[in-house]
Amino acid sequence: MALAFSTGDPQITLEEESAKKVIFKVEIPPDSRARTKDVGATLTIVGKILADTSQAGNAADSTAKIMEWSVVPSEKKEAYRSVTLKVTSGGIVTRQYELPNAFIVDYHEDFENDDGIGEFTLVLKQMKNKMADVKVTGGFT
Amino acid sequence: MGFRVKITGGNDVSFDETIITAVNFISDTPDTSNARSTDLSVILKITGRINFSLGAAVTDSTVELANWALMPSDKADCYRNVQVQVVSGGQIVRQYTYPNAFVMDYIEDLNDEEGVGTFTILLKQKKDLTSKIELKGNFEAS
Repeated sequence: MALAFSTGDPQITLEEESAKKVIFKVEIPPDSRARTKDVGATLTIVGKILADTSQAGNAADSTAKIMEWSVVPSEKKEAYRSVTLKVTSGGIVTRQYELPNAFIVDYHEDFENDDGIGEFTLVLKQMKNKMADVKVTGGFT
Repeated sequence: MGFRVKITGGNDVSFDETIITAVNFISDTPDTSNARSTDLSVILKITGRINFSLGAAVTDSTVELANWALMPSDKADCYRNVQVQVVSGGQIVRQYTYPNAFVMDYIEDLNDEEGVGTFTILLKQKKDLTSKIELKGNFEAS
């Protein structure tokens, strides 16, 4: 299973070797008596922060760009980006998640001296009034 | 023990024991109540695998669960009929039928350590229609 992550405008691309885990979650308040309007879609991505060993000074991955995105103030247009996450297994796209107006809820990076590489966790949410534009597809080549 | 799930009333989908790994039936009233509460929720939690079909030969019907979870509340088919059977040794141990279930929570979890992903769906029967659910057990599988 391989995960590829990309955003549009400004572009960030993370290839298969970077992303480790994805959790897609849709939720409404658990105490609701019937289906509510209050639907939220959250995408959590866990990945590796790699270092380029072949050419010092060159970025091995685009995780630094996600880090920069995480501090963009909400007044800026770049705070919202279109996000695509593709999960591929055995030549099949098992899942493709598209959040056209995603913003960062949480982003953290963890480094420890017993791991060779760092780890990041990115929590994204689709802008709530644009929920209808979220697309989940799968099972195609 | 095998699980079979049938969802009708929208884009109809069904899942068998190759996909479903766990089923939880939960009847829930507020933990702070002094006496039996009328505020009864009946919940169903279904966990399963996101299997992929080699060469995309078979359509992946778990995608329909994600689309159901994303459906806005003004649509009629955000309420669907869900039937779950727990089958063991030729016997239906349990059969839960929720005629007006809606999605409360839906989670897909995919990572690079396991070969296939997993999904968890949390369903609730529309509360004013709680009495419409059907709970049966211990009859012969046809």
